[in-house]
Amino acid sequence: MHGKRRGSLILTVVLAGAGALSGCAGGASTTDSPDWAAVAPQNASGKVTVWAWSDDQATVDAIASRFMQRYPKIQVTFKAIPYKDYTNALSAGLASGKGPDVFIVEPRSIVRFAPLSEDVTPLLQSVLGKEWQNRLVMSQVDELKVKDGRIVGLPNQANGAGTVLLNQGLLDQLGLSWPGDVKSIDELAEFCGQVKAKGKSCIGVGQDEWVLQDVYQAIANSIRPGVFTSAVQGKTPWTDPVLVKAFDLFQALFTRGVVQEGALGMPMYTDVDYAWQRGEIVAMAVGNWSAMNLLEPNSVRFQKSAGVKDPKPLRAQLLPFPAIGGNPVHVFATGYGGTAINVASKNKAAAAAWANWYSLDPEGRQKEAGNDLIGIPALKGVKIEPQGIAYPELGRPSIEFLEEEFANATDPRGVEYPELLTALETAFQQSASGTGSQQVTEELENASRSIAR
Amino acid sequence: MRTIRTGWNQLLVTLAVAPFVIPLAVMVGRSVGGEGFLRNYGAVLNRPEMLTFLRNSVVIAAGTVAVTFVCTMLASYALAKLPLRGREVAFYLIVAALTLPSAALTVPLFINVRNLGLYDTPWAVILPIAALQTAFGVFLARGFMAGIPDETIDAARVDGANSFRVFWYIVLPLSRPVAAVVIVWTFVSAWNEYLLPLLFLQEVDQQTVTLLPSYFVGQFQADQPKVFAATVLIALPTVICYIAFSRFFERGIMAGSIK
Amino acid sequence: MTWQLTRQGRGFMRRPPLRNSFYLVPALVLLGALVYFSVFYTMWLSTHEWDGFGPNPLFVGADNYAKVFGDAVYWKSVLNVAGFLLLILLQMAYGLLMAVALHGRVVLGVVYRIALFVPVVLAPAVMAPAFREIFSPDGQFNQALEAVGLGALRHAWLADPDTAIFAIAVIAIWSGTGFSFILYYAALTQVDPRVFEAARVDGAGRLRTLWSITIPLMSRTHLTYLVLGTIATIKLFDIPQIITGGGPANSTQFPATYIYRAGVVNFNAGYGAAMTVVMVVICLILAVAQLRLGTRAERNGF
Repeated sequence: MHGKRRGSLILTVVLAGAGALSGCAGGASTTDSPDWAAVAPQNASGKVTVWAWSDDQATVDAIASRFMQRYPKIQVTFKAIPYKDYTNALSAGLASGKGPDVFIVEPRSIVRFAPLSEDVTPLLQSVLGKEWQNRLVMSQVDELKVKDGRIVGLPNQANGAGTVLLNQGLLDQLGLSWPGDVKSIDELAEFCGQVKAKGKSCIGVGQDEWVLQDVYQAIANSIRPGVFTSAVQGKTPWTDPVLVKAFDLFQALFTRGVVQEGALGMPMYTDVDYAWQRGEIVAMAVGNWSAMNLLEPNSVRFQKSAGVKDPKPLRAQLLPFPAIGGNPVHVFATGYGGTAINVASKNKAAAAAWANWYSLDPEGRQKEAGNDLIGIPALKGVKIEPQGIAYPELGRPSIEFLEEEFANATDPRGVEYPELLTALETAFQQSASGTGSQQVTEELENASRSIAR
Repeated sequence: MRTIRTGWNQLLVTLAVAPFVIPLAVMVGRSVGGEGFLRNYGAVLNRPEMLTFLRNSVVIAAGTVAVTFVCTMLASYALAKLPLRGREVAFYLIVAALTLPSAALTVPLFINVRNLGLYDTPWAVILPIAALQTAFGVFLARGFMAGIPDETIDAARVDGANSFRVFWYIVLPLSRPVAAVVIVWTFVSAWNEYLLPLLFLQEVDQQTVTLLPSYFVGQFQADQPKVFAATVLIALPTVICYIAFSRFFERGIMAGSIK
Repeated sequence: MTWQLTRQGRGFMRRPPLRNSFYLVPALVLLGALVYFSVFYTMWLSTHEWDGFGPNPLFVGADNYAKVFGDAVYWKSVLNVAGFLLLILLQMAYGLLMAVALHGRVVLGVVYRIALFVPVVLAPAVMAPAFREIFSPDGQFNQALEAVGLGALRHAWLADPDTAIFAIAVIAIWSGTGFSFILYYAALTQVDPRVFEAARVDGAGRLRTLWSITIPLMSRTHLTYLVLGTIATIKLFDIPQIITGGGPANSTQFPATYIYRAGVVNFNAGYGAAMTVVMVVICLILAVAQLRLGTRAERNGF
């Protein structure tokens, strides 16, 4: 009993700062006029703090200054926090009762931070009008909808994978051509043998759970589309023959020299990516965001970071992952988080102005991100005009492929159960280092069953 | 004969230290790669936050050293040299504080810091680090002070000094080597602390230099030369602190007084 | 007479004056306010299921503990720690030898001291890329092996679940030895140089002096480092977390990295707390046992 009382005291302390949180769950704001959502951005003023994890500080400073040029009455502080500490820092910031006015929330944290996130439905209605549902990719809005019906963030971009980024220039140098029509692991291994004979690595993969998952999902979908997602949702057992076979193929990538040596010791970013930038690897298993490399300024900048002296843009191309399961690989995509407004923000009108510019304004950040090929905007009607495509004959088809495939992706990419992610990480790494598919899938199935979905 | 031995000593020490230098050499080498020494280090030093961060780090490190030093030296003296009720219990309580992993500390420390109204002030970082460093320091200093022979202290006691005078005029000066270790160590810990400033200080103008390397890291790209340049710059003050205090470790200060 | 020295005091002063305790007040207040609260909080949390943020922790009694005892990965991480405890002896030996050597005649001694000290102060987070490069298939570690004719051992060290732990061990030695060195170096200043002078006059060789004089004289420092090293090893976090993330396939998982994963990454704060309590108990038992044995050994004249 004693313990219980202490507990509630502690929790009160943690949560008190944000104002009785669950009380706010209806979305009624406490400190601001309830019609903050209706204030036109140019009429908002004051200070706004924004937190995000994705970019380096110079980039986010530049984003903030472009916003302030457009809305000079608003003073924005945009703080970039390293990804690995982001959830921790955001938890402390929000629980302190201060915290940022606006924060980017990642998919696995949407539910966690929902009690402290303002319902953005009024903002959607006031900015996009009554028909707002037609203006957004609704599957991405649904990801941000929580159980009580509130929408706790504005969708930004879709992120997807099931693709590889190819260094065509390197391949030409080696006198080889990409086997776009492989139907089996044997064919792929044969091609990679030729690459290896010339002293280069074939497909770059990192130790990270997400990239191993992307590769596995691509293989599984190449055997039977949608089977991976079905297993994630608990509808297909991991011991299903298709998933077992997918693990066999997955393992073969590592044992038959398709994936570069030492993959499990390298994070995808930046180690594998930099090896690719330096021309040590022919292709790497990355998703739509890697299309950034198609633009000349990006390609030069990335290569410089990777240590290349006086780089010329690489002749890159975005292609589907090799169809080693027999059927062509279709991409899978999910919204990557959203822009949330802190319920405790003291300046929600200005926060809304930022959120609007960042997520809903067809001339705002979504257009910038789209032009830079970082992601496919969830906002419809954003006209993407990439500047400085290095090699249009390769870049244009890649961008068309990107727009067609990712806009029509039906299979989701994310796994929303943290404990399943942990089990998958172990399974992929075990498989890649030689554990048999039977054992791996049985352990995975055991872990999967113990998860409350 | 002497020279040959010295020569061998030099060679062996060089070989033994070499493996420790390789990673440092890799780091420094990378920090001048890419755009070169001037541009990499210049980019770090030209960050507009640099001076503010530096000031904050100095305040936090100095505050932590001061609090830790006072708490550590007083407690170690009592535990090493004074008759005390519950001495063992007190000592084990202090050691126990060392065993908590940092992952278990952040949430309760946050609750505490908030309760005390310290969130977003330098104290939110100073006091938790000082608490952990005190546990560490007491563990070191008690052992060292216990090595000071009782006869040295007896002499002063016969002259009529009270316990604090003995502490101030005898024990503290004789404890300089370990005091230097505690100071250097506390300074390094406070200076290098990354997580607590990030979690407990949210205003950007309160942050410390340890955040600088991450300013050059994005989700898909890291400007590794500048990250290493920032790291080298951050490490410099700790090395200076070490050199400044290392004369207290030198042979000679204690010569003739012990054993 | 208002106060007494320890050794004399033990004999006839039954009740030490309370004022002696005042010296402990600042330290205990600081620790009590900040650290002990965390201990009780962790114990309380270990009986609950909680995501570390939301408003509804659920009391689950001993469930988390039952799960800890059945969690193979946790016990594997404990096994990793057990292996790493042996590294402490290596760090002690290395640190002591370097301290003795650098107390002798060495040209530019300060440079060597800095080289040993800097690894201790560098955060593993920022060194991680350098270490991944060193242990990569074409990295400096393999090059060094080839240079000494061990090219057959060339390996992707960090990528193989069977060898990643060795790479982590090398890095742990790299970052921990400097501290043992500093402790021994400071302790050597407590020794009267005439002791060594006398040994030399008696014709004792350097090894003999080291074995018969220096090592016994450092007994208190051995104990100090043994206890601090044990605690630091049991809490080892940064190096495996940042260099391998506990992988591949959990092969470099340590209790602290696994607790972090459960409590922070998987939002399972109660389970993380239960694992913390188990780990702290193991840690305390070891530390107290070492201190007790060390004190007894010292009383018996080592």
